[in-house]
Amino acid sequence: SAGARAFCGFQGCFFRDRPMDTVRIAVVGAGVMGLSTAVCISKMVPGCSITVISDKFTPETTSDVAAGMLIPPTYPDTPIQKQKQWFKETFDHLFAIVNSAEAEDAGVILVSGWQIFQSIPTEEVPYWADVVLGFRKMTKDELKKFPQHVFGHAFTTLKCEGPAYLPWLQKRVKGNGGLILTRRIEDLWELHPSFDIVVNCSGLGSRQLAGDSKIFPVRGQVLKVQAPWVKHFIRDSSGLTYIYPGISNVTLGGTRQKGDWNLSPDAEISKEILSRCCALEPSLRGAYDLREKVGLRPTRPGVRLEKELLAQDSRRLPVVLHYGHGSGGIAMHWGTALEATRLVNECVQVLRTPAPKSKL
Amino acid sequence: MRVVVIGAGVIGLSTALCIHERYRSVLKSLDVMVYADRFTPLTTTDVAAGLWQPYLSEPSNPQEAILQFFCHTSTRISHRHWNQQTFNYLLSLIGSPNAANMGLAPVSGYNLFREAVPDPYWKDIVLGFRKLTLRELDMFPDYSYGWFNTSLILEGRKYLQWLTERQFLYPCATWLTERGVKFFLWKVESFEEVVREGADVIINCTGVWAGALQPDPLLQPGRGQIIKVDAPWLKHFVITHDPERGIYKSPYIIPGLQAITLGGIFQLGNWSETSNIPDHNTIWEGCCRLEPTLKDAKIIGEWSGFRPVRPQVRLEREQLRFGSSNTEVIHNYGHGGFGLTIHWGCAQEVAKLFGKILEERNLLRIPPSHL
Repeated sequence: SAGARAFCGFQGCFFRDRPMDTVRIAVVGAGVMGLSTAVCISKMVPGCSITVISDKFTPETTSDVAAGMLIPPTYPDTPIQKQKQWFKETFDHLFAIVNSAEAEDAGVILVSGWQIFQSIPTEEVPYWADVVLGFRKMTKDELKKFPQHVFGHAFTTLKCEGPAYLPWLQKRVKGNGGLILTRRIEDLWELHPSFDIVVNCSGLGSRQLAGDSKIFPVRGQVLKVQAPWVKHFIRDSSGLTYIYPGISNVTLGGTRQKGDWNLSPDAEISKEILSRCCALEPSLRGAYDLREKVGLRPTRPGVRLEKELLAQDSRRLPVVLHYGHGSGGIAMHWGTALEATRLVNECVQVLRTPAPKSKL
Repeated sequence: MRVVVIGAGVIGLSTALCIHERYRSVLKSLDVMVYADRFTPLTTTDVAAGLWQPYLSEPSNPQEAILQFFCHTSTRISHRHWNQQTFNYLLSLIGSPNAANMGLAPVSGYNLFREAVPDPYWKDIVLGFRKLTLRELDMFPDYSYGWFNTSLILEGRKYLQWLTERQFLYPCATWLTERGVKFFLWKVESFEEVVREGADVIINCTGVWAGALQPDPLLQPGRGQIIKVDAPWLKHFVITHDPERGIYKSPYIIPGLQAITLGGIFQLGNWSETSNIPDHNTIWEGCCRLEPTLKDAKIIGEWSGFRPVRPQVRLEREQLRFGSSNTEVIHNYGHGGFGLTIHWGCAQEVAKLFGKILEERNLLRIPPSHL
């Protein structure tokens, strides 16, 4: 499809007579996608230099607002097997961190809890049941705690917190020789000819940078509160109400407002979120130090993960697109970063292949 | 009718509360007083991590096997029943907005073993009990078998504060002469002196120091030492078991409502109340091996306490004669390392025995219908 066309385009149109030079890669975006892709590239693609370019860095990215729970959504346009692979790769990657002494530095913790349903779901066991730990259905006694709910899942999963994880990734990027630049890119052509390959991890920015009208925000408002006695996550299966205990606060959510770009918190919504969460966990009435946050989930029917060759006059710019994870960014990031890195590698191979002297 | 409760740990305060709540409306003259030389935060209860979990059913070492030999089947059954009563009572309070103010919260976690063991009798009392999967065991390389379940934390200090406040400020608009339980800082040297002060019934909740009031060769201190740390990223309890060393002698990590308790010390017969460095090192090394991220944890403090160890809880009536009068004593001590776990069942049992005393003395009015 698009990837194959780009590949043919490379072979036909590209000539470079210094194939073993360092390949200069620009990663646009410094949220969880940009940084994890940069780390993967630095580990898996030899002979390249990496520069991460973004106008926003932690703690001001969308990834910083996300609670970071590893409970994946379902993308309608992506095969389930692929989603399961991405989720599993992400889970395994973070599980290795949580079992190491670095867990706290990296912002990754183990947390158990319940996903509860107000009516029995058609699919009682989700595709990711054997990826998380100890998955089982809730017992009747456990469900007594939630009188409005009739069914539930109990399991142990991971939480990966942006404000710690992103700096941890940034350290790794720099440790592997990567550069980090603050700059707002309005057009990917700005990166030509300074860079040989561009990786577009700009989330919602791709509306502009990739001219992608399929990506739109789903606004999420949350409260980050102090309630250290809450040790379990509770998530209503609708995904609208959730309580996610983290390292130094508890995230209470949330909202799903399609097409809403407003980054300012709404006080009425905050009250309403608190009320919904207190209905599930009454002790939250004692929560203190409430802080409102808003994030815009970069939503698309499927994650955009492909190569594209931009062409303008005689200029060519290979681009790997890696964005559109909606509510599943943290949950899928490492799996999709690995795949984006494979695509980058393919681009690098093409650059390194001496091109036949052919007609244009 | 003056009831004097000696001891202000979890056993003393919960028993005082139980008696006060159950009988103050049927016995107008009921006067409940607590005498203790230690109040929170200086009681044994304040040192406890507060996880609801009874001992495992099997004796884990020869010493415990001998202690269990003295423990009659009927007593084991009582312990089970009181433990279950306590859990069910605490669980019924989860869902109240005040749960955290009481020191109460649900908590899940791991019990780890080096070999397969039978399921504990309390597996159907706690929530969601199951065996660990292989992937979960991968997190704990020194262990090859284990359990996962959801239980409760009842933090000693917060709970004692709650019990104290609740009894002082007992809100009751119906009775104008309502009085709460009174507390007295008093080191009781003998039952006799309490009787001379006017006590009709004595409830003996003196824990590990009960032997000072009446010799009890079955009661010994099970010294524990714990380190409290700030490690808010830890959400699960992790309790290891080493059958060769015995209960509480293997590292454990138990999250409280704010801080995390690290432990793994159990020394029978050791009366040293000060924390020492060798035990600190044992705890620290054992727990860091279990949970490497503890290297980043800030140490808040270190405490020692004496579990009041006995083959079985002493919960029974005794009539003591001083001069010409008989005084009823109800003993309620010897709860080992499971005081918080069993306290409510025992308090209810003591209240029942107290009720019998009132009946025998024809003091019980016909209870109002709402009771």
